[in-house]
Amino acid sequence: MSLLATATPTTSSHFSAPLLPFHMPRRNLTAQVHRIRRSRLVTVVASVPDPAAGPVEYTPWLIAGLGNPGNKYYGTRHNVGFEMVDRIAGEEGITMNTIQSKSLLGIGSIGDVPVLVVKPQSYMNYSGEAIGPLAAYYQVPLRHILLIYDDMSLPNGVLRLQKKGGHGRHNGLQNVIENLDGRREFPRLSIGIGNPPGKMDPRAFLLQKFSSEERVQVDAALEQGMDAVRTLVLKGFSGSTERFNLVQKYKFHRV
Amino acid sequence: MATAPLPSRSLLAPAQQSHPRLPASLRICLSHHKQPPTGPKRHRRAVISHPAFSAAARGRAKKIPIADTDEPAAGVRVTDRGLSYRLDGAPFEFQYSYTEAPRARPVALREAPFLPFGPEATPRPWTGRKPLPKSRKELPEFDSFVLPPPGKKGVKPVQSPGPFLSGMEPRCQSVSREDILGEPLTKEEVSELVKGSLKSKRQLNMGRDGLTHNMLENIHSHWKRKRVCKIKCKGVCTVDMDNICQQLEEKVGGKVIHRQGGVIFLFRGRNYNYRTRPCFPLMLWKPVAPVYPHLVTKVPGGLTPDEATEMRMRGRQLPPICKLGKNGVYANLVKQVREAFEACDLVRVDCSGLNKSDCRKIGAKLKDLVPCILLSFEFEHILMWRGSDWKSSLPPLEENSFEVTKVQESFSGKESNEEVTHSGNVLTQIELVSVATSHKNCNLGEGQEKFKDSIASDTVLNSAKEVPALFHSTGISRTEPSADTPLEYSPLKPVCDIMDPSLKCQSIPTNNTENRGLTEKSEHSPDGYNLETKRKRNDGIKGTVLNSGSKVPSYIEGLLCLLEQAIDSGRALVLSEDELVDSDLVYEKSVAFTKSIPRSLVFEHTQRKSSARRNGPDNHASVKKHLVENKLSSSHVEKKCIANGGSAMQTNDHAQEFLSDVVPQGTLRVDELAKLLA
Repeated sequence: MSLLATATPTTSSHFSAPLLPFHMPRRNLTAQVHRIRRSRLVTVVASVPDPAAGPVEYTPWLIAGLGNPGNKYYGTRHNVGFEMVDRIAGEEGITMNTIQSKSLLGIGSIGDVPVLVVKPQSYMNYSGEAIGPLAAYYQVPLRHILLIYDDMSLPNGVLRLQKKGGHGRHNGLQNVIENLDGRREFPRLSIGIGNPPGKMDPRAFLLQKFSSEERVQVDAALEQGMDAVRTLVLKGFSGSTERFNLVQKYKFHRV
Repeated sequence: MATAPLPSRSLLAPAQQSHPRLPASLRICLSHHKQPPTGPKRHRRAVISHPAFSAAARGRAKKIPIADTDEPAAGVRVTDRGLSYRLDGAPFEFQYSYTEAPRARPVALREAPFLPFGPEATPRPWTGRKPLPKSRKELPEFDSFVLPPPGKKGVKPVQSPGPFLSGMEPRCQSVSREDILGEPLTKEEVSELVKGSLKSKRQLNMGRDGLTHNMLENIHSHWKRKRVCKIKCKGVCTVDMDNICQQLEEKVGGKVIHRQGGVIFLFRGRNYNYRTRPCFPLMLWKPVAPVYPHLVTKVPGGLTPDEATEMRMRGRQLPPICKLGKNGVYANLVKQVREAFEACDLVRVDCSGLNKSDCRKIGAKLKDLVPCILLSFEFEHILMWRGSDWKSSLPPLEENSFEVTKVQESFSGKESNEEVTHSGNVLTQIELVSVATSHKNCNLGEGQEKFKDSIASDTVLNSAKEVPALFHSTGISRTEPSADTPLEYSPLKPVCDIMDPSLKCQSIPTNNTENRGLTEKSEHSPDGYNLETKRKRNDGIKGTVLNSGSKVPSYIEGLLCLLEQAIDSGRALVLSEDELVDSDLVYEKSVAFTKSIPRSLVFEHTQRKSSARRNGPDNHASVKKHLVENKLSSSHVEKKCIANGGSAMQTNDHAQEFLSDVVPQGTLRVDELAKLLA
């Protein structure tokens, strides 16, 4: 994800070299053997500091992940939203230690943009009651509420960033939309979890934990999603979002 | 339109003698063979023994090589678009299908070329019925501008010509296409026309043969009665909807006003007159399709046989990008295939359930439209290769990190992605990470405090720099990346080492917990000084960054301010470090906390179900009120008011937009509002 837009300067290339060995071993999570097929850029290029600097706008973002609280639901499919949000908080160094309006939240910033990271502790079907009042209290505009949730209509591990949309029979989303006065024009990041196999009850499917291969794919997806969220917060919806969606859609179409 | 050899008593002599050759401009009225059989059915063997009817001839597939001569035989030409027929006086060359003709030159014909417009041209004897005698009754010419009086009974409904713009009179004698079309339609006219014909049951269906020649006449007959002709396209022809629209406009002369999925709405023109329409002879036979070169060659474009086989084998495991349903609308297929080519050089499309010929036709179209090379049609799938000279249509990547990483990871896994991101990210992450590794609460609080101080101190610092710098410094001075921090934070070390000597680590008291008192005022000036130096260093190392101005800190500050107030007022509760570990505990605490806070605080911002979907004038009023009071930095009560702006679905869009910028949609109704404001 490009850091060009952040005010924190992008690194000069001599920083990148010592970092490579640290990251290689950790990133062996890809399910597929990586093949560098394209003759495009393969090397890590030091990005030029973007003279257009700062983020698009400084209005705070509210990043909410949907899920069920408690250890019982930790790591289940329906809780990928929580996992993503945990990761965001971890990587941006935001501690989520405040309880307000039935949710666990933390305030921090991504780059220059202030960010409110929220995990509603009401159960999934009442997430809206937690998020709506929070957004109202912190005066976060509708277009800056980013909802992260699981999506059965996408294959496992595929992400999609949308500016607005419907609820797709997701109870948490429905509740959020309801609590935002029926407004659907808030951005979302949907993390695909695939269809329930055969005639499995969708609810049972959602409350299952991931299988090992799926786990790997989802972890990869969370990484990519992290960058996507950063770009979104800093640069808003742009061509890069479309490209991201495209790449995600076809990322498993490889032989 | 093809006639089966019907056994009939009154057989005509061979077709060549029945009708004189009619000029193309006259309408040919041939009867439909729907007459009831005269008398009892008589089973007859084919009386005429013409070699064309022999079983042998029927069974064998002939292949007549195309004559190389230039002069067309009887007006039939073999072009790059298949067979085309030229008749005298025709405005354009006729083809069997104007959209589905493959864009390849036929290799051979299956039968001798003939003009399919009338029985006289066929080399077969005419075995059909004699056409009905023309009626003696003089039917008046149907003129669109001379409509029957509205009250007249027994008249089929006809729509008047138009719609006419005010001030323009209808032009009856328009001949040219632009004349007939008239002025371009306005939006309201378009929507009106479309709305009227969306649900009409009269429609023309376009299938795997696309825009056939006889369809032109059908469209005109629709236009006789209605202004808009609704054409529903399904199946193979929908792969290239743009071509269909273009051909329609060219050949038929109307205008496509609306396109929705596979449905096309064709407007006839303001001054259309059925009487003066161009008349084409109907095609009475479907000419047998000529032989085209193979779609899938054993060794396609530029590959060695081994490579081709290898690709085909790979393709067998490739998941298909989509599944086509029989007679569906495949308008997005080309786009999807193009997108998929960005991701992988092979693409597979699932065509199970389709006709075999449909599958081939779709493959042929894809070959032309997405330029690609077809590899195989195995297992009812289309396997395509993008070709060796394929160029990506994505815009060139100026910002190489995001897109490159995104693309790369789709190929090369996450490794390069991580490298790039981390190299780009390094300082931010480290800085913020250093916060995470230390006592989080304190750090955050402190950092923010320092923030405020430094702003107050009026330094012209790059504030954005400050924050990371502060965090960084505190992180370094206080903590070492501890052994239990995950590996990702370990890059902190080398960078720390590099950064450390450049910084003056100040001794910041560690035991600053929740105390938000400004005890750091004393350190303020050294801070400021240090920050200055740090900034210079940072600038030197990190490169130049624009000053984001003083807006940034105030927003974070605003949020934190709100948070503080929430904590003070009892709405929010801060948990300690050890409580955060267990999510069950967190949940219980939150439940307990929520139950314990006074209701007035809770229900301030929650939605009231009664006003959830309230629409209308009361919201107008509330919206306008809030416009007046919109300020960010306001007191508690005011904040409440602002937060409780009108609900959604305002007709006042301007206010809406303005509000939505600053104020989230709240829920209180007008009377509540009035109470608050009073």
